[in-house]
Amino acid sequence: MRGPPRASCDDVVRLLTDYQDDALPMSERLEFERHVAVCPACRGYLSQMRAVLAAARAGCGPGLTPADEAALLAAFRTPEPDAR
Amino acid sequence: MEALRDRDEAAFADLMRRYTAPMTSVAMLYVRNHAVAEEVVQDAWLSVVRSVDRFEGRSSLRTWIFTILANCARKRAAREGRCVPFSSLPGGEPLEPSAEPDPFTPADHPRWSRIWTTPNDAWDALPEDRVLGRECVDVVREAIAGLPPLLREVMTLRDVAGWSAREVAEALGISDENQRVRLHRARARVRSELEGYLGAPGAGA
Repeated sequence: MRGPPRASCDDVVRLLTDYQDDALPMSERLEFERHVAVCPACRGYLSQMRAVLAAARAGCGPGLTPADEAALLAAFRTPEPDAR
Repeated sequence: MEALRDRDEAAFADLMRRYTAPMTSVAMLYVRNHAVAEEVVQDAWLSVVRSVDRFEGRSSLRTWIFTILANCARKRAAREGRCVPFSSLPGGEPLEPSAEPDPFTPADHPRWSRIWTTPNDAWDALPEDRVLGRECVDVVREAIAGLPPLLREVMTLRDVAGWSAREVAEALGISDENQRVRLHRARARVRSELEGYLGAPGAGA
């Protein structure tokens, strides 16, 4: 068991992405969670990051228009081998 | 996959619905114009339709589709004389040091070492339509578009298109570690831009 005795706020920020990607060793993961549990400022930061990720996901490009989708489906039905 | 080769239309329609939006975001990495990105995505789908019989299943279907997309986008970008960031950079390229102001107390503070100097607003206390409203989504999209290419491609693939860490590292030919460093910096920058926007008095709705 290695790792700092206590995570500080900057540790939380520094390790956040690794934490989210499950790339932290168990000891650091526990320190991270222990710190966040008692630190409102870090919980605020985490909530901000969640908002960023939700907005990023929502900003994903638009889907196909029905007309384009129909055209592609028609092409799928009767594929012309690499002509054009 | 079998379904596609058997020309199962429902399976293909489902695929288009799931992937078109993330594909458009990825196409935007190459071509800056949204309308052009949409055309690129359509070209890519046509190419998928035409070559589905040649798909050998050595990569996942998604990787295969996005590889086709990347090729279409690169061709189009080259035609339009745009330089292409994606996958054309050596993976080990150094990242410039991040120059964010330090929001923490100094490490030698007698009692409170490296903690926040100011509290952070909890954004989940904000109404959902505020954070997921048009404006915030646009601010985040613009912030991502404004990132340096090395950071932009990782954040687009991970957080907009929803790829896994492994998939992104593989697609870009970078280490897992490098992938995380880039993602981390990208997210931090985008967060601070959104903070600037949400923090501005009278901003938004």
